[in-house]
Amino acid sequence: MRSGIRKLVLSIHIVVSVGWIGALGAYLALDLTTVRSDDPYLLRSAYAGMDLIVHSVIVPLAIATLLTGMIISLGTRWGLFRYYWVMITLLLTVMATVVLLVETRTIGALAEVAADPSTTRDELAALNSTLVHSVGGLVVLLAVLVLNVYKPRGLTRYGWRKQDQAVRDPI
Amino acid sequence: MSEPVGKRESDGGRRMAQPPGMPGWVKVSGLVVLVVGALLVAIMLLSGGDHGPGLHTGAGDPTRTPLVVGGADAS
Repeated sequence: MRSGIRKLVLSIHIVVSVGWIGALGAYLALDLTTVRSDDPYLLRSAYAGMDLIVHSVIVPLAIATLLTGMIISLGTRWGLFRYYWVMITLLLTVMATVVLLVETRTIGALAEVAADPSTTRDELAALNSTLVHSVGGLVVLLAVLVLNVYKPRGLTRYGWRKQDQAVRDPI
Repeated sequence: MSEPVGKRESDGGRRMAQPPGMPGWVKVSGLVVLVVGALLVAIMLLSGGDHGPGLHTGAGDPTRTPLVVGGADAS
C-alpha cells in the first residue's frame, strides 16, 4: 500500500476507533443513569438516548473500525495473522462488534418500553440496564488500544513461514 | 501504524531456524480470558440462562409487564 494511502487509512482508523471508545463513554453515562435514578422522565430520556447513540454512532464506528483495521493490516507487512498482537486485536474487535450488533436488539426493546406513555413508573424502574455489556465492551476496547500501542512481540507460525519464504525467495 | 523493520524481523532480531513458540503474554492472557469466560457462562446458567432482551427488561418479555397491583401510577 502506498505511504499516502496507508496514512490516510490509518488516520481514519484512529478517528473511528478512538471515537468508538468515546461514544461508549457517553453511552455508559446514560447506562449508569438507568441504574442510579428512578425519575421516570430521566429514565425515558436515558433509554431514548442510549438507543440513539448505539444506532447512529456506535454501530457505524464499530463497523468502520473493523474494516479500516483489516485494510491496514492487509496492506502492510503486519498482515492479519503474522503477529499475535494483530490476530488477537482482530479477534477482540470482531467479538465486540458481534456482541454490539446482537445487543442493539435489547437496547431497542428497552427504548420502546421506556417510550411507551402507558409504561408505569414502577415498570420503568424495573427495566434493567445493559451495564454488564457496556463495561465489558469498554474493557475489550481498552485492551485492543493497549495492544495497538505496545505491539508486544510474537510471530505466529504462519508469520514465521511467510518471512522464511521471503528470505529464501526474494522478489 | 509503523511497519515491522528489517527483512528478517523476528523476536530479538536473530534469524530463527525453528518456528517460534507461543509468547508467554498470549498464554497468560488466554488463560485469563478462559477463566473469566467460564465464570460468566456459569453466572448466566445459574441465573436461568435467559440472555435475550428479557434479561435486561426484568421480565421474560421485553414488552410492558404490569408490576403494580390495584392502581398503576401512569407517570
